Amino acid sequence: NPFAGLVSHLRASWLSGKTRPMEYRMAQLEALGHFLDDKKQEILEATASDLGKPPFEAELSEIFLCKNELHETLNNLSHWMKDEHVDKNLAMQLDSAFIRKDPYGVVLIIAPWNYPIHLFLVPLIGAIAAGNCVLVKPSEVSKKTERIVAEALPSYLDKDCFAVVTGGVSETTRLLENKFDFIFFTGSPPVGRIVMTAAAKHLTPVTLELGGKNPCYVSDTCDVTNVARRVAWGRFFNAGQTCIAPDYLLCTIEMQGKLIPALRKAVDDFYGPNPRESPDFGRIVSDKQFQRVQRPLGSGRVVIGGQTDEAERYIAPTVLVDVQPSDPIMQEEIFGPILPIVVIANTDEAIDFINSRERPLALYAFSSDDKVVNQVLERTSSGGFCGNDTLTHVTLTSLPFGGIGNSGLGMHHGKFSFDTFSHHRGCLKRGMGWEPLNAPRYPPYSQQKFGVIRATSKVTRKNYCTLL
Amino acid sequence: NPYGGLVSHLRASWLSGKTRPMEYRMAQLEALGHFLDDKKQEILEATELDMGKPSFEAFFTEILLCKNELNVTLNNLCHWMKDEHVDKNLVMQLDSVFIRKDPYGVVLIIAPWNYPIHLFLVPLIGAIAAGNCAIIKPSEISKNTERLVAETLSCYLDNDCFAVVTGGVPETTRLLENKFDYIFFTGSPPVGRIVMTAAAKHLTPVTLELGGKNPCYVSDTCDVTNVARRVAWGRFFNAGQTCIAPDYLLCTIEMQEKLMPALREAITEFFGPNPRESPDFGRIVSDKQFRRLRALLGSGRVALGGQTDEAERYIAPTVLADVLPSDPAMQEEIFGPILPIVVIANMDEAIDFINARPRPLAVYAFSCDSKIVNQVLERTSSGGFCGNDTLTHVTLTSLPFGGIGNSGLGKYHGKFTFDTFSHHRGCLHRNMGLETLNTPRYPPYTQQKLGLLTTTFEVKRRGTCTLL
Repeated sequence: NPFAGLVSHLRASWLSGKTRPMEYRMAQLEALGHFLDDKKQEILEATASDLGKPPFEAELSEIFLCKNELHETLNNLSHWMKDEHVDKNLAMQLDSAFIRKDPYGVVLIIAPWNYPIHLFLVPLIGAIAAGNCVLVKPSEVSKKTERIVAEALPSYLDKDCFAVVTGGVSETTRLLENKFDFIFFTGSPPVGRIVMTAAAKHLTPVTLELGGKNPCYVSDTCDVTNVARRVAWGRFFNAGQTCIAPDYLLCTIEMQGKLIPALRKAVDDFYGPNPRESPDFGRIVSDKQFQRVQRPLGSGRVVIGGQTDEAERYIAPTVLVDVQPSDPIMQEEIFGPILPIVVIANTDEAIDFINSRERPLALYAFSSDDKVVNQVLERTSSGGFCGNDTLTHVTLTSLPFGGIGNSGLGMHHGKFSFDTFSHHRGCLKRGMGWEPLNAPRYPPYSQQKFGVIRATSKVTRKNYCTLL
Repeated sequence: NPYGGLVSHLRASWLSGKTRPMEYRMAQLEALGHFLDDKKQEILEATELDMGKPSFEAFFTEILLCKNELNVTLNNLCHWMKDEHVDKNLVMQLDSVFIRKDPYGVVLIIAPWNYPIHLFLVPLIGAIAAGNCAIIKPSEISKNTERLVAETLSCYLDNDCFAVVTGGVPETTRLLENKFDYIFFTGSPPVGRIVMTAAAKHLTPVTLELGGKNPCYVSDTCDVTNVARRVAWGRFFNAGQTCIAPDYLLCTIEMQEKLMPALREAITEFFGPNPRESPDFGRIVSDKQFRRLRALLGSGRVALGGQTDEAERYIAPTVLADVLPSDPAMQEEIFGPILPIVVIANMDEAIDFINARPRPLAVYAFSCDSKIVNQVLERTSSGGFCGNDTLTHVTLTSLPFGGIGNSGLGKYHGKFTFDTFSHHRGCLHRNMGLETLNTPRYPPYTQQKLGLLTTTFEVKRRGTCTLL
């Protein structure tokens, strides 16, 4: 077991109590902030090299959104860490009843390649804030970023409590043989199953941020220009390699007719007549992913884009129409800059289409009519939801981010990260005296004693609450 | 797959939206209350037949505590169900941002035999409250209660949405082959692993309420009489068959000397000179469990009790002194009316002893000195904690109840049950217009645009909070 020594070392550090004081956690978090500031240029360069990530996008997702999470945590940690005092019943009025936020211990964070800093760093913030020791496993697919994390991050954090492990599938499999106290995994559903199965051997709690095909319903009543821009932005950001990107569009044949020129205009506005020459459009991360993404291009009919260049791993911003549910492009999460349009007759059909498939990480509905947006929200199930936009719902630290069903379990962002990585320990502290208060519960049992117990611990039914 | 049809039926009912309206959920919950009222006598009789459960105890745990949970839920459901509006950043001031509480879908609740009504009914309350359909699998070991649940519960609940499945290990294994949207399991850690492994195949989220050896530390400064009564009560309630019972006692040799007569006095006071004749002391649930417990009696030396009667499955309230960590009684969760005392030199040794073992469901610490109680709380990790008492911390609906490490994952009781069985869906509803607000994010990217974005989305670092 090649990682046992490392895991033991981290566990010993955690048991020493080193990570408990708030000052320690704040210092580690501040150091993470310095990492982001000092290494910003290297991060932009590494992600540009790894997946052609435009520096604007990298600065936004890998630096700025991370610093927001950091600040949110630094601003509130002392409140979050406090014991939460709770309502008491009659019998416990003299007692202290509260929820203590305890660390889990040694936490494993496994991150993917598409937002390679963000997707380990944001969970790491919560793990540190909650007082855990952490092992970070960045993705080997985004090689240059992996190297920065492995070489630079340890200089910023306490090596006794935080470590980076690199490697591929075989190393991660060996790593998962160890007992961790929490595992946070971001990646694909098949690997999510493997991680959860490994976790089950040790009864390790997990958060799995997975993926799926995020539907994007566009109703007939909408501002076509705005919809096209918002959808195109969400689909082509990071060359489509975003777990919450709109994966496919559902609309009527009339709306499809209106959307295509609007999408064409949006793509042109964003990337110019030849997106391959735009500095603002990314590339596919690897040859393997390139082959996978461009393979289903035969689905339906190309109306926008469709060009590819294997040497550059370039796939043009592409829109497909006349796509059938049975087409290859509709069989798996696309994770690339291709937007298929599937024609449906009306909102009900769109909802049925969505509900007959795996529950996605995100669900999008565009309509000028609020009732339509609310209908879609009400009658579907997904990790998160955004009406009249794409992606932005996950930029707010006050909203929980997580999947359901095949798209994952658990949630994080903001305080939810802290809550995810802390054990909420129910605590009751009673007095050593006051023994007569306990007398009714002891044998020999009697009806009278039961009456006293019932009177002091009962929760009465109150009147109906009609406010909804 | 013998249960495929049943699970499909429940899933179809859930997809029909039947369980969504608050009125429906309230009606089902009220019906659960009627079940408890109408079948109270049958429940007392069945649990007495199953494990000699004294009526007082059955009334308290199987009826009263369940009704408390029911009333907390009925009183608050409309509030819990509401969309939770959250803080917005500058750019989303005109948007609607909230957390929607969605059901998971079809839930499986597997319950054990020791509190056979309570341990399926309290989770069921939360599952119904959150809008799910549910399959209940009561324990086949508490046969009479199982029959009662299987035969009568369905008369109270909507058979389209709720069902009871009976059987043993093979049936439960077949049941677990199906895809559920949530699994709530109460039982032993080895079976917890099996359940989580089965859940992992479908990426099904789980709550596992398991067990372990709950340590009970008694410091030298305490009221020996009160400690003895509170510990004896917690240990011998339900003949020790309680997941949160104090499993073993840690104290100095001097305290052991003082505790012994106090424990003898408490047992005599509770159960009389011959507990076998007391109507207030239970029996072991099965021959297998009885034999398992009897084998533990060779640990250390019997200081109190020790008598057994196989025909009645009676084991006397027993205290073992001079128990060594290597003794049989210290190798597994006792789950019977036997209290071993392990002698340690001081509090630090006690804490080290506790921390060298799997994390328990409950930790108990008795001391007149609150600093000592706080030390034990601070330096150990457990599901829950109670200072100067046993068991009572789980009777408060405002405290979360759950394990950590080997003792489980997830939590419930009160609102925590509702939260466990609902998916917290982050939602953002934006305006179809106001497109100019979005322009800074679109390509072509510029420094100016980045500056605008960061200004409107930024979470600033505030001055340090010094209140702790």
